[in-house]
Amino acid sequence: MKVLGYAGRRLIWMLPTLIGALIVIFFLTQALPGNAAMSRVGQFVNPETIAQVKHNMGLDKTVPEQFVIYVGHLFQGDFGHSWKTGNDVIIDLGDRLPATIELTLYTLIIAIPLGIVLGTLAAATKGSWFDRIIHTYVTFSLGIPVFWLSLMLVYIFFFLLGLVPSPTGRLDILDTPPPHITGFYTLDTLFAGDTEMFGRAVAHMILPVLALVFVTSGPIVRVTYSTMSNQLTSDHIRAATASGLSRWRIVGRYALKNAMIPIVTAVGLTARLLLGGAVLIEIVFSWPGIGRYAVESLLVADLAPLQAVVLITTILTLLINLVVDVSYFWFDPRIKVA
Amino acid sequence: MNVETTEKTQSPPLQSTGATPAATKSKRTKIPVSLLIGGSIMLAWLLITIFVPLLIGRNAEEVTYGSKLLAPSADYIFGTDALGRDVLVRTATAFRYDIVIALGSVISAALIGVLLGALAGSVPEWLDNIEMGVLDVISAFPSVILALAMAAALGASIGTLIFAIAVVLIPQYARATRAAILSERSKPYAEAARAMGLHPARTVLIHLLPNTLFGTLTQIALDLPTAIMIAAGLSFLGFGVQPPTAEWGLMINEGSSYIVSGQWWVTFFPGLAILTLVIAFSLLEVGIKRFSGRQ
Repeated sequence: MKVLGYAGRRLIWMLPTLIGALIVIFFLTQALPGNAAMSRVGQFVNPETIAQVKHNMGLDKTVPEQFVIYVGHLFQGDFGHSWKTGNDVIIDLGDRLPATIELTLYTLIIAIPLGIVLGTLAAATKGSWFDRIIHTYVTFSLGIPVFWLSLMLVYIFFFLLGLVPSPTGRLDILDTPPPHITGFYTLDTLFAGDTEMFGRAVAHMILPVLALVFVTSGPIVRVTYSTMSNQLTSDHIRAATASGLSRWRIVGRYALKNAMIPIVTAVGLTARLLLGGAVLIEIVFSWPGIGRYAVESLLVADLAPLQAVVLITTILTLLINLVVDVSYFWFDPRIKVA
Repeated sequence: MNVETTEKTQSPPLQSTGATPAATKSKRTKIPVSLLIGGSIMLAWLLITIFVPLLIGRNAEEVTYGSKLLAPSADYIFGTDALGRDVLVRTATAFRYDIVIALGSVISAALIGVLLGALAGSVPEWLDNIEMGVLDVISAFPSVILALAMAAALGASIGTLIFAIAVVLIPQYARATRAAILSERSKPYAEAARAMGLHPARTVLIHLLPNTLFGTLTQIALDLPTAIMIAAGLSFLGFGVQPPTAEWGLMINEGSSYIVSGQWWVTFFPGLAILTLVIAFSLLEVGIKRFSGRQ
């Protein structure tokens, strides 16, 4: 219960940060070059039309007034209107947010256990050939730009080997998406009973998830490795070894449990980095997620979608931080709520 | 005057306690391998970026009609891109831009961040809270997305790219320096400075701050790869360095449409370049840590 109270207090403390973020988002998008009204109707119209469009878009009001209106609308769940897609932003997000979340969720589901297992094994077999391979893995994982890795994977697995479909998004170009239930195509195709399309949805996910797993698991491996190395030379582990417990029982049950806090911190950091990395991946694979939505809106000065995406990723970042902090209580019962 | 010099000679021993003179000596004479390799890669890049364009005798932005998308050969060792430009010359030249962006953004972030951190660590608590609150707002944004929005808002150019990356990196320098200043402030030499009635700004800037700089240096080495990655990423998306300039991220973008038709070399070599530079930076970072014997 105390932990719940703590989480609640933290949620309230997020508010000032969120208001600050809203101010930054609003004024940053205000500063974008290009005239939103003009890029909507084109430059070859008479000034009255522009004025009319500006009035309709609320751009003739003063900037503070626009800000108040913007925030007011947000509280009603209104993210504005995208003139490029012709939809309310909330509708567009309903399609695109699941695409991004599906990608990042599968990445985390694979990258977190993989990172922890590889880091633990390398630390437990310090100095071995395996340890050295893992070190190389981490070096490359931290040094490879994710968009470049994706392109190379496309070259090898699509162009050379023909094992995966072309990078055209979530399904083949001619496919009609499955009925919207969860928005995750890997689930919706199954609900629709279309196993063939399920196969294609999975095939389209393989490369982007592979690329993201490679770059996100590196930091997790590195932190797990260094924490576990310290753990395995500590007194309580030496005592457990002396009492004749098996090596893997010691590593898995005693050392890993104590190493969880730095690992969880690293996982949180990785999850935040993933939100940025997803933007780059979505461009390479024509993945119709929120990152690509933001970039495409940015190119034509369509402000509302951009504001919405920055706001959503910011809220997700703050929530990830909160979850990480709260999880400390679970991993280390000695930590008391202050 | 006299008082000041004793202050200065007193602070270094406080830093290096724990290491016996003998141990320090043996570590100092032996330069870590990682530092050597990292340094060699950097040196190699410096030579490549200066001499490769000269030796080949082609310009990075030189368009040759009739030699578009040529595969690597003796004539064009890394092949040519869609405009018939030499990928090797472009990759070599791009180092200049990428290194300037990385160093420029990280060093300005460090300078501003350290000053902000020192300020936060020495002003009244309410002002400290406001400052840290503002920095919290900046770090609440995912860094690539914030840099992207800023670069787009200010108009894509190398200058705004440096600025955007610097803003993203500032909070961690400020936070680390603030924490270090707070812990240094309670040490005896700081109390002595206060007791002697030195001006607070002088105490912080001249006496406390130098003792926090080691952490900053490590952070700089750690941030250089991050800066290169963000710069390349933004240029890849079209919001960083603009064509026809040779920059790695932009080159990868220019080659990306030819990947599905098999012209891998336009994309491959600039990415490889990023990889070598990032590895060099991480080796340097490990080396700096070992060299100062503070791992």
